[in-house]
Order: sequence, then structure tokens, then C-alpha cells
Amino acid sequence: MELSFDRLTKQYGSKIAVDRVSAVLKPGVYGLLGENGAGKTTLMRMLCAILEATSGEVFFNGEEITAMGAAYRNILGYLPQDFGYYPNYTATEFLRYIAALKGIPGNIAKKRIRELLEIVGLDHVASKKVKTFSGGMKQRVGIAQALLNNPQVLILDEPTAGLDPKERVRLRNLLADYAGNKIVILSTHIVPDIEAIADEVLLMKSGKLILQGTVPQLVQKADGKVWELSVSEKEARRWETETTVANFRHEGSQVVLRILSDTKPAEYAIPCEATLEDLYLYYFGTTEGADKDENS
Amino acid sequence: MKDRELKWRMSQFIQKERPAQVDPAKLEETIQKCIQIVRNQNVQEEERLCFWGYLSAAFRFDGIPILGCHAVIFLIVCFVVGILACEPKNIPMFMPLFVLAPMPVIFRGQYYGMNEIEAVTRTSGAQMMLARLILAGAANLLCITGLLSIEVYRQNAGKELGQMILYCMVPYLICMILMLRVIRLRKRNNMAVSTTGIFGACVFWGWLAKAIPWLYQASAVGIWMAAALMFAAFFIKEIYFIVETGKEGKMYGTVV
Repeated sequence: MELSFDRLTKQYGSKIAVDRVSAVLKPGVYGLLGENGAGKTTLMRMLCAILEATSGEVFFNGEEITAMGAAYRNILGYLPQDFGYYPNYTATEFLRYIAALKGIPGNIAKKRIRELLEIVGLDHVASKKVKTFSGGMKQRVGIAQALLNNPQVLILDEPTAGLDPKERVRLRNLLADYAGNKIVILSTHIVPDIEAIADEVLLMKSGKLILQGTVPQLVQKADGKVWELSVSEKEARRWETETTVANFRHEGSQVVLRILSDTKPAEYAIPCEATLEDLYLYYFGTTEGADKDENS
Repeated sequence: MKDRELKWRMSQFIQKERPAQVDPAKLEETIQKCIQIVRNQNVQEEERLCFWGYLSAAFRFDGIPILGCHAVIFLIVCFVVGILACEPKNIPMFMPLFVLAPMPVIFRGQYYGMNEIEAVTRTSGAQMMLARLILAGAANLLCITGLLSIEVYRQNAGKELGQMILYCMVPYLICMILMLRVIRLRKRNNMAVSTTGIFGACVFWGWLAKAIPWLYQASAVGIWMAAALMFAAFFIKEIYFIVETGKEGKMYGTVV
């Protein structure tokens, strides 16, 4: 199974939202990482065939997805970033409605809805109206509807938004179990979520795919660029304005800064092991980062 | 791949690789095992509903609200007709309201932000629209039949039934075409534009009845018939477009 896209581009007037993005995705979990406005949602919408690309094509097992039509939507599950719901439907009714749209016969839908509500931890509120749910519960209903048709390609746009840490871990475990022989693409700017389950990470910036690789491969790119140094509080403010500070913590009267820099920022700076979050901040941390792309 | 073909291919391959060492009994056993593995691996496509199966399911979620909205509009129209002792020439003024009736369901996805989720399901936007139009059409048939029956009874004018049918058809078709065109061609505010257009149509037909009374006499039936045929052709074209869009798997209406 393979989902591939070739020089996918989306342009709105003079603004290029997605700029000639290409990739080949095989079964596994792919994390699409990027700041707000990087083009993640636009790319995902094109992969779902709900947004027409300005140029480029998306292929599933060698067949162009718009030509596949219903056959592609049959194997697709999608959770949009800001999804709505019909407020007066209960969780069960909502899923039954989506099941009808997905063409799942009633008897199969009933059983699957019961199972999914249990998996996402909403079986105890199955007959309550969705409008009474918290944000996290609504998000879980959204995930359940995406899984209804047992999709081979699952695309989730910011699925952990609004979830508390416990729910995020639950979702990550669910996706890790589910992925198996399926293609799961999830977009987020919460780095730990990607780090925990993604087999591969695609880093997007200003519509371009600037990096692609496994987490260790990407983290390697930030090696030698992460430093720690202890400074006074007064100096700390200066460092924050002049460099990318990934983290700071107080240790007595001193402030320990974790700085991202191509060169050693000070004589007394200590090199540190990089993390994916450091890589993310290295590319997106400051306006200077605007110049950084895969050639940096 | 059929079992027979798999068996033939395997025999050819194994005998080509090791011609002198093949034990026919073992070969047969291996081939049978391979056939079993291939059978187990064949992905059994899950059963899916056809369009008519979806339509049946859609009745529960869309049909009941559509009927409910039509019932409300029908009661309002009957109430007004009853109070105003309406002449047949005022019927066109009420017809756009029967196009308005299913609009809460038609635009529901857009209003509640469900468009994206609905768009990626097996049922295309065009098929959903077609199902809703079928359900709305059935409800409209009931309501308009009821309205005409009331009007015929009140006016004791069975001989004007043909005219009244035309007075129902023409404004109904115009407003339906307007709504479908707006959904198809406008990316933004199509709900507001459709609603405004329909209320505007009500005002227009009310004004027309007063401004051009001769249009509602028996002698003008020809004009109504020509208009009905013309707009019916446009309406059929819109429906055809929806059907073709559904077949081609393209997006219908505004999704994002």
C-alpha cells in the first residue's frame, strides 16, 4: 500500500500555501510537523481530495485519487482540525449518521459504534448529546468517526488539540495500535506527540517540505546546535532577545538557558544532546529561522 | 488470482528452479498451503450500501427534519390562505417557501461545520444533495397537493386546477434552480444568498399578482406553460449535473 504525492501545490492568488511538496508514504505513522500557517492543513485537505490542488497529483497504489472517487473515500478516515458536529445528536446517533454516509450497513455500524465508543472511552455517555460534551470528549467522538470505516489511510489534523495529557497518551496508544499495516498521518505542533509514535516526521515550513526522516535522523540535524549556559537574570533577558532560547530554568540566583545556535554562543556554553523539540525550534524559533531550510 | 492459475504458476516456477528434485506429493502439498495463504490474505471488501440503501438511511437523519420543516411551512401557508381567502393568483407567492423548507437540512453541514467530515465519506456531496432533493420533492408533492386541494375547495374552482398547478410549478422551479445554482457556483454566503433570493421571490410574485393581473387569467395559460417547460428543462439540467458530479466523484458545492 502506498500513498504518494508529486509536486503538490496550492496557490491562492499570489500566496502559495503548499509549494511543490512530494513524498511517498508506506504503512506507518507519519507526523506532519510545522508551525501555524506552514501548510499542513492545506496539504491534508488535498490528500483527502476535498481541496483541489493547483498542480500536482496524489496517488493511492498508483491510482490518482480524484479518479478513484468513492473508492478512495471508502478507505479514507479524516478528522479535520476544526470539525463541527450536530449538537442535538447523541454520540451514538452522530456515529450512526456518519456510518450511513460511509455506506456502512446498520447491523455492522451498530456493533462497530459500540466498540469504538468503548475504545475512545465514551461508552458511558453514548446516549448523551454531543453538545453536552467537553472539548476533549468531542475530539474523541471525532476520532471515533474517522475510524468507523476501518480506513487504510487515516488523516488526523491536530488530533490532540484540546486533550489533556491522559487523553493524549490514550490517543497515542490507540494510534500506535491501529497503525500496523495502515497509513496514519497526523499533523500537530505538539512535538512530544510526534516523538512518541511517529515512524517518520515530515517538517513543513512556509508551504515547503523541508525535512523528512525518522526522529533520530532529524534530531541528528540539530546535533551540535544545542547549548546550555548559566547566566544572571539580567543577562538572561538579553540572551532571549538575541538568540533562540528553547528553555530556561532558575537555579538559585542563576538562570540556565538552553540555546539553539549554529556556533558556540559563549566560551562557557556546554553542548547538549538535541531533541526533536530543539530541531523544531531551530527551524521555527525566531525570525532568523525564516532563512533556515533543508540546506541549513 | 484464481487457485488454478496460482497452482500453474507455482508448478512452473518450482520445476524451473529445481527440476530434478521435485517430489510431486510435496509440491502439491506446498501449492495447497500457498493457495490457503493467498485466500486468507485476500482482503474481503466490507459490505457497503448502494445509493438506495443510503437514501433509506438518510430518511432517518434528513427525511424526518425535512418533513417537519415542510409541515411547519404548510401550516403557515394554510393559515395565511385561510385568513386572506386567497385567490389562486396568490399561490405563486407561497411556493418559494416550499423551497425554503428543506434549506435547514441542505445547509446544515455548512452551518455546523460538518462539511469537511461529510465530504470525505463514501457518499459524495452530490449524492447527499440528490437524496435530500428526493426527500424534499416527496414532501413538497404532499404539501402542494394539500394546498391545491384546499384552494380548489375554497374557490370551488376545480376547472382552474390546471392553472393552479402551473402557478405552483413555475415559481417552485425558479427558486429551486436559484438555490441549486447558488450552491454550485458560489463559494461563500450561499445560504444567505439563497434565503434572500427566496424571500425576494415571494415579494416578487406577490407584486406580480397585483401589477399584472391579466397574467393570471385563463388566456395567459400559454405563457405559464412555456415558462414551466423552460424552467423544467433548466431544473432537469441541474439535476443531471448533480448526478454526473456524483458519478465522477467530484466535489459538489462548497466544502472548504
